Amino acid sequence: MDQSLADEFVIESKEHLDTIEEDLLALERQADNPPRPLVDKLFRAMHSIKGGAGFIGLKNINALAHRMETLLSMVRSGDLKPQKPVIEVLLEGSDRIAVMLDDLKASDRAEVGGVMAKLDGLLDAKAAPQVQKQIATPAKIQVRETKKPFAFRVSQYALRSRKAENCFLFVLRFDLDQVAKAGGMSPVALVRDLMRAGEVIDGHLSPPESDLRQGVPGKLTYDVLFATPIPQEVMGQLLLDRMNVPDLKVVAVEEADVVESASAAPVAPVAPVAAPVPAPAPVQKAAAPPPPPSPVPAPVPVESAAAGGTTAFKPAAEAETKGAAQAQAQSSSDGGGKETVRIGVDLLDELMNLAGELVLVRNQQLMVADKADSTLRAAVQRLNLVASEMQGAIMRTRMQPMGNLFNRFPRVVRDLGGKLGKQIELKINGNDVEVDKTILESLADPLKHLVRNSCDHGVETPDVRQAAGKSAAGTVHLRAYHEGGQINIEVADDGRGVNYERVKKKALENRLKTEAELARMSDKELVQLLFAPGFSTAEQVTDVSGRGVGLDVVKTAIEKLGGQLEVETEPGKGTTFHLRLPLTLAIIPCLVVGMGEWRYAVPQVNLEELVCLYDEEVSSKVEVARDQEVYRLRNHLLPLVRLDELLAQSKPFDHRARAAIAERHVAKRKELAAKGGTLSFVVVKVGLKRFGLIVDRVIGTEEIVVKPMHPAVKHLGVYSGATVMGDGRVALILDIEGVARHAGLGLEGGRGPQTEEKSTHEMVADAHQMLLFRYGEREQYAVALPLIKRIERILAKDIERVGEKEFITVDGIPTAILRLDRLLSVTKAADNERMFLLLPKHTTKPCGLLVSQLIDIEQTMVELNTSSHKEDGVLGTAVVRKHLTLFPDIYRLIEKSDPSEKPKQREEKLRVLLAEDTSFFRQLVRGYLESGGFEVMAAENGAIALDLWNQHDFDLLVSDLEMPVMHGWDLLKNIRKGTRNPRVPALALTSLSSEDSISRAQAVGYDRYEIKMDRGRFLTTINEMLDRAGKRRGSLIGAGT
Amino acid sequence: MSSVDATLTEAAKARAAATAEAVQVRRYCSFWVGGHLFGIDILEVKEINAEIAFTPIFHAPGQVRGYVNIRGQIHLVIDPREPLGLPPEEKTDGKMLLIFKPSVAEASAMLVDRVGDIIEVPEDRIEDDADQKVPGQGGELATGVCKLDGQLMVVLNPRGFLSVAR
Repeated sequence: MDQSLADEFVIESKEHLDTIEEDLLALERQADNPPRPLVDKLFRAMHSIKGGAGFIGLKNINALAHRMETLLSMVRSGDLKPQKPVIEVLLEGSDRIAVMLDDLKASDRAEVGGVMAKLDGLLDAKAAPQVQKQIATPAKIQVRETKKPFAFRVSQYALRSRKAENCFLFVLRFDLDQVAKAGGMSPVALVRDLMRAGEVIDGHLSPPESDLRQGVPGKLTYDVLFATPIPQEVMGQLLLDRMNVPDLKVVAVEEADVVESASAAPVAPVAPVAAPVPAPAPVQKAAAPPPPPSPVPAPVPVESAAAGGTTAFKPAAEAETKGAAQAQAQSSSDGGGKETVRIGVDLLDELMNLAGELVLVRNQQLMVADKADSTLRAAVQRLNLVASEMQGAIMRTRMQPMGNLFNRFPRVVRDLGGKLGKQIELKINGNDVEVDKTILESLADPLKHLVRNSCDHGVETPDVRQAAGKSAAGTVHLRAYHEGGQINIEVADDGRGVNYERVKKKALENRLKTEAELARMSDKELVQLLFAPGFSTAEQVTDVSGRGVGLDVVKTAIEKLGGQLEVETEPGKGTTFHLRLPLTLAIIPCLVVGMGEWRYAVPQVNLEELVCLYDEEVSSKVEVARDQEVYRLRNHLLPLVRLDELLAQSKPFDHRARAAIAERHVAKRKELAAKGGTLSFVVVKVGLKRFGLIVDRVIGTEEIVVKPMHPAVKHLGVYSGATVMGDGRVALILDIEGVARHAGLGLEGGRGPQTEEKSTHEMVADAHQMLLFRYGEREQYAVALPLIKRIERILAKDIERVGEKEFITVDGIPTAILRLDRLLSVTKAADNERMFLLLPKHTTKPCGLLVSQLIDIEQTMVELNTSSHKEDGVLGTAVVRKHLTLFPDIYRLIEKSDPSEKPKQREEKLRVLLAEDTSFFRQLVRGYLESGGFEVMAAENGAIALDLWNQHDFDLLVSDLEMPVMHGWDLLKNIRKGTRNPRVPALALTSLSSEDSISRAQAVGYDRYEIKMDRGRFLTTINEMLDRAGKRRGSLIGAGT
Repeated sequence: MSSVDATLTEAAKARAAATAEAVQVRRYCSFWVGGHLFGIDILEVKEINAEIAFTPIFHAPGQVRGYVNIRGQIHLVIDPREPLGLPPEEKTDGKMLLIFKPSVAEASAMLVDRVGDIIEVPEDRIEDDADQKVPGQGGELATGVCKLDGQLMVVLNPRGFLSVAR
């Protein structure tokens, strides 16, 4: 076991375990609605421990963590509620792991059977009865020819699950005496070697261990039930080569159901094999009838590794010795190297402070020095120089070469190569590049993840590579270099690249995106999906990676360090991960801004651009959307936050506070504009969100030394630290994310591609943004902008006709055109050369609404009139900008033009209560529900809804959260407390995606929530909820009879 | 500032010679805030400084006056007026900072109107019932009260101010 690897593993695992108890207990408290981020965190912790343990060959920890991870994955999928028994076992498991970590060497001898059994018990209890039976039944393993059974203690389930992972199963019989004599190998070394190539499911000695007390008999054989991805013939050869054991027996395994084996004799051909020429004998599925498995799925994926497997395995062994020699050489050269002293970091920090102070003294000297006195001037200049150099030198003491980190990877890659049956070469550049110690330490984990990722997912097996015309050995290239005041690190492989089709498939499976959305995504956007939480394209769950943990963790870690992670990929050529990081965390580049007489620092990482408005623009370019001042920056609405207002109010802004600020400044802006004043704001970003921070003045960029906040004020979200400026004054560093949170910009929703399309305009203006357009000469139309995916400019001549239908090619995809005059009784399209196509979101087939002229985007609260113009496909009408405006229901129109788009209708007529204050949405959702075959009663607020509830019977509640009079949280609280159908399924419908409102909704008992407004998903969700409720009702009745 | 320092050290020296007596004598750094006399155990005070270039920390609790840079170290400035129930006062001219020892409160200082003498009091003259004597509701901030010639000195507990701030 490599000591440095092991140490690192212990430290890392302990970090994970530190928080696990608290998290598990938190999970237990919310067992009915386990919060996803928490489950994810726990799952990732276990996954890391499992991966690490598997990697350095700690069998017990690995096995335990694996089971705990499986249990957590069941919690994650919702199959298992994390109630007390589950949590208790998980806690016990983590305690055991903690104990084993304290003595790693003895960990594999530690007793874990009890916990393991409990974990298995829980896993089994939740498994299907058929599976349970398999677990309960011990598998009978016998030599195919003689039917002589082996004495392995293995459940059928264990064997089957190994097969499900496409493993080959063998029984290996070693003559330990021979192994030791001919192969020069101790039994321990033998087992360790085996573990590197696969999994030892069970093993036993014959004669049994207990007999050894009588003295070692002449022949000691060791039978191992072995699961491996390496096919038998290769394995046989491999063992021969490695151990030089002539008397090795590789026996193909056959299992039979114990209950059935008496009557049903195994039909498989008999093929026991003695070593030298192992015949190909793949594992047979159980011959016994229940359950009759469909034609044996041969363990295909690994077979292809045959040619390369042998070659890959050998170099691993060779390389090991080479590596050891290298390490020796290194250590001896180290001995004669530079002399070093260990210094505590606190001493360095003190030095750093003193240097800072010296700089201040120098500044004062520069100010008071008499410019005429040349000797004094020279001395001050000298002081200036020395002070700067000293500060630089002290900074350098914190720096460490990347090599300290990179040096760990050759071993990692080598071992991975052996484990995965791949040949991987590691190239390293930039060992000398220096980085701040803190950053270097925090990089270890993310980098390891990326390297593993490249080895596991990137580099192909040798035969695949050769088939693609590449060299058998793949390359992983680690590179570090300085560029633009940042440190750049690349992890590049020359493997298969990202498979877009698989990414799409996975995104669909995990419900990250709909098919239509995926169809419109560019390759670049698809690649971004890799960073979505819970996303993994690994088809097999391995020790190394998979299970949907990984890149999102890496990205988060890098961003925490103030860095960025990008990925470039070319199918068939390889993938490169590119990390950009600041040189140090102690000093960060910032933009210093002034507010009143105070200065604040905005970290450069958050900085996007500076905007200054003059004269007229101050009042004309800034608008108010609902309760928020916004600025239209290149056609994107940018919310504006006033730093002075923000700092003046310590309570986080609510709607009223924002509205008051917006209102107060309308007049002020006018005044300012009249005076010819200016308005400056800094465009900042947090994740994918942007907003403008209005400040009095922009002072300039500066490298500042970061000091943490005093513990007594650490809880203030808007600051991330403080610094001493050149004049000796303290300035505060703004935490931009905290600022956004304080201003109530709702940026705290998830990161990643899911939220990407919810760009600023949606965030600010809720869903009351209407796109006004014309189609015919007369009518004015409006659709809700959030329903539109994209607006495409087209030429009328490009429209093609197929029979009655019209198409146009958008992004290479034929897109059906909807003409309003064919679907509604309205005037024909204006005869324009240039037209527009509105592409709606969430459609199954590509289609677009033809529009002759775009008028504007209007931010209004519209009250829809549903009676004056009644037509199928029209939600209603309203007067917008003094014109009667039709609000077409895009989805209804799509349905009308293509009946196959019609959603599934429920058989029974169910009644839904809909509470929604915005009339537009009320109409829209009502339409959705009616198209799904529901009967709908709608209410404008919670109070009216509650009245309706008490007068009628409903099967489902769909409610908005923010409503006047009585909001959605109280509404459901009342229903749940009441007597009338209190357990009704309830869906919260909201334009707020903040964790807070969602968790509040869950707390009062909403079963699900949907963000406005994807019709397909909405109806699917509703149907699922009703099906589940129906089942519950059904089962209750069933139990009664 | 240097004269105050001198007073402090001189008083300390004088006491060092005299403390071998039977009754324990405590020494307090006395100061005025809002016309009231307060004292803090001299062992809890690291230094007295006249630096008053504060940077306010908006959103912070009322008794946090801001940050100040003292020789490159950022200190939190606590204004005891609010916790002691005294009327707030914006102006800082002529005020002083009592900087606490790190063992008492990390990187923190208290803003006072004026620093007085080192006052030596035999331990048995400090009375416990501080509650009524402390103006306002800041009871837990005071550990005792001591009658001097013609006036009262309230003995403050610096830790109490920090715990309020947290």
